[in-house]
Amino acid sequence: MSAQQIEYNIGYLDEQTKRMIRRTLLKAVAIPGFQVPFASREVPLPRGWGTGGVQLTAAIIGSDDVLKVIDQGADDTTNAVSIRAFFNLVAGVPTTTRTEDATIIQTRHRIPETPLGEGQIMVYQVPIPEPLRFLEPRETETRRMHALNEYGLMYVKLYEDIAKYGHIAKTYDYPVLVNDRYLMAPSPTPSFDNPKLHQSQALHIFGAGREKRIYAIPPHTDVESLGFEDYPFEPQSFDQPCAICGSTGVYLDQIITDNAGGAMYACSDSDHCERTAARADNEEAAS
Amino acid sequence: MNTTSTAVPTPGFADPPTEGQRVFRAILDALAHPGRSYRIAGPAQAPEALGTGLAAVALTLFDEEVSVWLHRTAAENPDVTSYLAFHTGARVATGHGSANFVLATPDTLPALDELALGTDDAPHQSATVVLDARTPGVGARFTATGPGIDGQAEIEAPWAPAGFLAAWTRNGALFPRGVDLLVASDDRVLALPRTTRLRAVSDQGQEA
Repeated sequence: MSAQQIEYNIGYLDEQTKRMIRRTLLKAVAIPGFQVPFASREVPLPRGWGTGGVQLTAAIIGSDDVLKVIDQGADDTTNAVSIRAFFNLVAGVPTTTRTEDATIIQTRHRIPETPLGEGQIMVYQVPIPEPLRFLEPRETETRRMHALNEYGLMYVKLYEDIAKYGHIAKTYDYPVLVNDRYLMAPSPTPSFDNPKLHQSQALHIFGAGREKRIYAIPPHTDVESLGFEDYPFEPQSFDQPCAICGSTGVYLDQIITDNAGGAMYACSDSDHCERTAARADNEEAAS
Repeated sequence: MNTTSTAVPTPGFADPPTEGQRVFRAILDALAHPGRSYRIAGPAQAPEALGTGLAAVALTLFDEEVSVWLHRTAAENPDVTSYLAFHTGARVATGHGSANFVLATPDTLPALDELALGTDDAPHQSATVVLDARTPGVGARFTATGPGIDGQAEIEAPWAPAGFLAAWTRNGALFPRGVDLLVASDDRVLALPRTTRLRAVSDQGQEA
């Protein structure tokens, strides 16, 4: 492999861009759940692959940080491995797969099973930041609806789900109300993860590169998943334990195992699964 | 410290990407944990009228895209104006009503509701006040609640200017509009985002 030809600034982005993103991020933290527009830049990965998250991480990362990147819960998928390698190269930061060792966790669509602690920052890669987009396509209108705190349309959508299917059918990107004011899309995380946002100890920041929006949930902030008194929000739940590590109460992936429709269910959080399995093996060996 | 009225600015950060990142993370942590103070390492020297704390905030957040209102002592001080112009390129605003950032001391802080407050559609287009905490105001103690605070927090605020609690309460009532506040001394920063609600605590520790 040839020597690196270009000397990049720390975190890849230039300082002026970082300042612009940083100012945007401060306003996003000050107005929990409100989507702040920003001048999204080009980064060396295609839009839709996490450009918003990458720009946020680039704007906050420093030599004291330890970075973890997950893609659907897994540390070992292409997107996660590439982004970890990218920041290892351009910011010189150590990376980890262990949730509690990380100071910054960039994620695509999962929140780790290991509880987050104070001082950790979750960075979300967001494809569609506007929770009302599929109900109202005009940006001018959705902005107005946020300004007027007018979220009736979303409740109508949830009601129609109940009328049609007997329950609220949304299982990912389940809308939340942040600090009792702004309707927010938690990016397409499964609704299983929604309760983890409420009064979390960590700072959650969301970047949508293609849609040019940044928003945030500070620590210890109320995050309410929408529902009705008689049809309250119900996060997804699973009947069986993980087939690999035996964990219960975690988010499981369905893995098809044969052509006859056979399937196994295993943890989507690879860090949690590996360590739980290793601990079980150790206990078995010790006994 | 540079006391002569030379227009040659004192140096900024020795290593801007690294130092700027550290200061930014302190400011971000402060805003995410209102009332808690975080250590910031400013430049080795800074104009006396700014101090290293305000200089660190300026070097970290200001550039040619922002406008800054300066309190009179700073605005009339060529050390400060040449420092900000050379290192940041920020425009100096003539009136406080339109500035993105407002640099003030406790006794020069303009009325908060005269500052840029944003609109209902764009509440992020509001001013960020950077208060110089090296000189005390009338002082106060508060209990704070709101996003970023686990339950409630006690804030010792020697920097609080006269009438601050009433002004901050009015600012909070404007939500989602309103200004955000950074309070910087030479080596510490704390923040109050517009979502933080304050109540006064009297000297006996009784809530007023």
